[in-house]
Amino acid sequence: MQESFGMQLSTLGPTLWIAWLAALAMIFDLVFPKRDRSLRIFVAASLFIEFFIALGRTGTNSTAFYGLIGQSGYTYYFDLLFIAIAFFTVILSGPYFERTGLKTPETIALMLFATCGAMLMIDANDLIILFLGLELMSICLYVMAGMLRDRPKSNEGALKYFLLGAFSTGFFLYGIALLYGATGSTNYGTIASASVQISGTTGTLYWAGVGLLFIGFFFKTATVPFHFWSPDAYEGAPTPITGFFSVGPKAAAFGALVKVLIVALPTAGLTSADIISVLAMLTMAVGNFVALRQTSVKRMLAYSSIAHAGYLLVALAAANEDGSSALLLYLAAYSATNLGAFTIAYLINRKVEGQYTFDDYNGLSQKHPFLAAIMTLFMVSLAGIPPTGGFLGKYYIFFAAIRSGRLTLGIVMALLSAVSVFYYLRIVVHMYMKPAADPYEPVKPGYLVQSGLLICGLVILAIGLFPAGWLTWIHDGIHSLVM
Amino acid sequence: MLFLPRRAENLQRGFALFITTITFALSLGLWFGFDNGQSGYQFGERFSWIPSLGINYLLGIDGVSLLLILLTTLLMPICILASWDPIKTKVKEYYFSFLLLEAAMIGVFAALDLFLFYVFWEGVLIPMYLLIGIWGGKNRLYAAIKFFLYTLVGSLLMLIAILYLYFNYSGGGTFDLVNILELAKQHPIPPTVQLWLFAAFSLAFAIKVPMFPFHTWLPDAHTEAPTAGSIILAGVLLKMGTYGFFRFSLPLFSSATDAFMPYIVILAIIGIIYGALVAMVQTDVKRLVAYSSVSHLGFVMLGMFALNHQGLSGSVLQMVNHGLSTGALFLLVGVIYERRHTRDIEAFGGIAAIMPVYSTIFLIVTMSSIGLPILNGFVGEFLILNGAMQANWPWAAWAATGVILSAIYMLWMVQRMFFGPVKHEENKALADINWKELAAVIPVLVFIVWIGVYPDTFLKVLDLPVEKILAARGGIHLQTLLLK
Repeated sequence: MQESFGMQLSTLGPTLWIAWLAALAMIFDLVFPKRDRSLRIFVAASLFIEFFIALGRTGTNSTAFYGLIGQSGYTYYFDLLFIAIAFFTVILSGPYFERTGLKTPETIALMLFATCGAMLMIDANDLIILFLGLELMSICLYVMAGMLRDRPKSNEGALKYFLLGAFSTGFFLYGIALLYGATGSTNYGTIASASVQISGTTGTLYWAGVGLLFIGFFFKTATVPFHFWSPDAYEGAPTPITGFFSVGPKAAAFGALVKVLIVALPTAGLTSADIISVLAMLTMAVGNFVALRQTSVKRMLAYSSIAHAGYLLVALAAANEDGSSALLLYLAAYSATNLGAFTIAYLINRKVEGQYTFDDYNGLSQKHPFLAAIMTLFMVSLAGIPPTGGFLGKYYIFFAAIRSGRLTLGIVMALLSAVSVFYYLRIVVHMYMKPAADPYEPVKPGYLVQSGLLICGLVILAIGLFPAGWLTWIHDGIHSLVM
Repeated sequence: MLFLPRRAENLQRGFALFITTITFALSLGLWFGFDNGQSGYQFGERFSWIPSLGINYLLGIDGVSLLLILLTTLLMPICILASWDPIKTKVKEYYFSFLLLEAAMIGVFAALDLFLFYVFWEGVLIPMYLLIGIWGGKNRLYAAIKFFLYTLVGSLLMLIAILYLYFNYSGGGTFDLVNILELAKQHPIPPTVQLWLFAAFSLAFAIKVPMFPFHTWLPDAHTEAPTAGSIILAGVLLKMGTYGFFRFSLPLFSSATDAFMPYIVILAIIGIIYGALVAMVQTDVKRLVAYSSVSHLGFVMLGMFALNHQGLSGSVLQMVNHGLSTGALFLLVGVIYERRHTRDIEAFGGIAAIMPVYSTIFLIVTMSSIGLPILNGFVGEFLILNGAMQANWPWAAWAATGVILSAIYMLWMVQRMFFGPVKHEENKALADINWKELAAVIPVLVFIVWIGVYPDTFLKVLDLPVEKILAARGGIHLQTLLLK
């Protein structure tokens, strides 16, 4: 029996709150124009409260709207992750808005709508809803990439992102169509049960559909060879938004992909594992080696996030339960780290959206010991060295890869992540080991930003040192999908 | 440490000294509470850390770990004293890194869970990297990054090997070394797999030791590190590598150990002779001591892979000896560097007349490093050569040339630095060693003489662990033979 409409809406709860909040943010600007700071505090406070409300909701599984939407431990985990990402983006971007005059209400609202789309992607139990969420997220991202309207770089990045993104959407949609043709449904569960008895022509249709769907996802996750948009889009976007780009949409795409693989295409993960592991190796190699040669910190972080997509693909290629859990753990540690790192990148940067040179970091340990120390923690975590969350995530990915017998992939990943240490430590070198060449003073962040960074750092350490509870939670989430 | 006020630098120094001294006192407690007659691991601590992945916080020590932990905690307050005056910038960060380093090192020597061991092993890297990179000499950036990358590549492959071991040969999914060993006794790991695992583990350890040809990071790191950094690097960090061989490679992969034994011994002998020859032509005192470490660690490896009682216990004792005498040498070189700001041997000459106390101490430490009877180096080298002789006499013969060479380069260095006429005017006004430096070096001297005169105090704690390794090897051998 179907439940009442209101009950069904409540299944979508967190997603709807975020949408409401986005709408409120726009209305807020109409009622109280030019009160950007209050707006940010209002949004951050609301997100903070929502985080705890969402925390209280965990535990119950439900489906709504004729099975289009399904909530379970898995989606709760991602809901919390997305709310936290949005919260930190708002908190940490304050000084940037003040320095650049970037329009707060629009940016925040777009970011919230993108978050809403991301949550919808995870909630989806149906390829059409998945597509809806993906589009809601992507369109906001295209606009956000071009937010610095008077800068050619920003426009170039946004245009590239939009054109390539539109292509990938085409692939994605065509994949859905073929899958529908092969199985007669777009519902995850029905596709899974229908896929057991496909053969002959339908089989070809099915696998072509799966392949196109993968391509669509790989565009979003910036997997080599579908990554060409990402360095430019990342470089052109306002830096705090780049931080959001590198974690939010990536988490959404990987999260949705894992859910689709487990629920809708249970055999596809294993079948395509060889291809995915080749792509993972390529992605890690391209990301790491190109990052090595960057002279701009922002571009370096952009390529490093391609490399991290490669590590996440290793988890995917493992194609076992550990791989999925490792992916979830890694996403959390990586999100906290990258948001913090991008924040420091724009704080240290000398001119607004100028050259993000490494030399700006010279002598930072003297000028601002806290920023230098926390940035070191972020870099150590990205490099995957204990006792940080980045290490534990990477370790768990090794764990999953070796359990599934992919020893070569594990060794390649180990060697390439040793390469990555070189460019992450470069920043530490500049901060601690080179004296400041001139009396340049970086922007002093307020207490709000400092405490935001501190919390990011604590989360990283907490995942690295006390992961037991976290892992139980993740395992429950993955189990909730399998059932 | 983080909460101390930034300005109060003497408070920070005092606090670090206090903490490290307390730690030493506590580790002495371990020594007195240690039961020589018990063959298992003692003072075990076990907490479930990440149960879903089979990871425990599992600590425990045997005689070997005990000696190395004592060495660590002894050298630590000495390092703090040694850096009291030289380190003037970023004092707080300096001592913070040092305490972090100490915790990680003790962890390495006490961990019995492979994952935990790896965490501590890697945890050593970052503080050491900072110590070299921030407070080091001119070429510090190059040296620091080289140190870091070399060690990291090796240890990441070890991590893969640990995981492989975990999935295939740990039975119920545990990283517990004791369990894995028990299991390996019942179901030996196939020889070909052993070869690969042994290679992956040993690469990490060999880089750390460092064995020829993986030694190139060492002279750079040593030369550029601040005095205390060199002490700890030579004194303790290198021992992590040899300890790793002793604790993991030998007992876990015994058939691979047999297969690799001749090659490792040959590399060790090359290391002994090559290190000595290169040390001979150095003009920089610190570089000379660094290459002498390559040579001495070659001895340790030779003793270990002689695979008999004398060799193994000599090798462990020599780890401690080398930590003491090389640590003291670096300390003394640091003393003179503070006064003259050069380490060029040619810049000195005839110092003995100007700094009598300093020169006497330097001479004693040199003698210990060469292996003069009554001092510690002799006992270790004698046992190692004895062990090597039993295993295969040409090995001992070759290694013995190393002893002679070491006497040549060390004594030549001493002669050029301390005796003869005073060649440089500025050397005439050098102040002799001061009380702080004296306080740092005296405890080391005490142990140098103690081990030299009555090594039995230390050797007896090694008996059982060494016997256990040899016995386990015998046991596994028999079984593999029976299976064939």
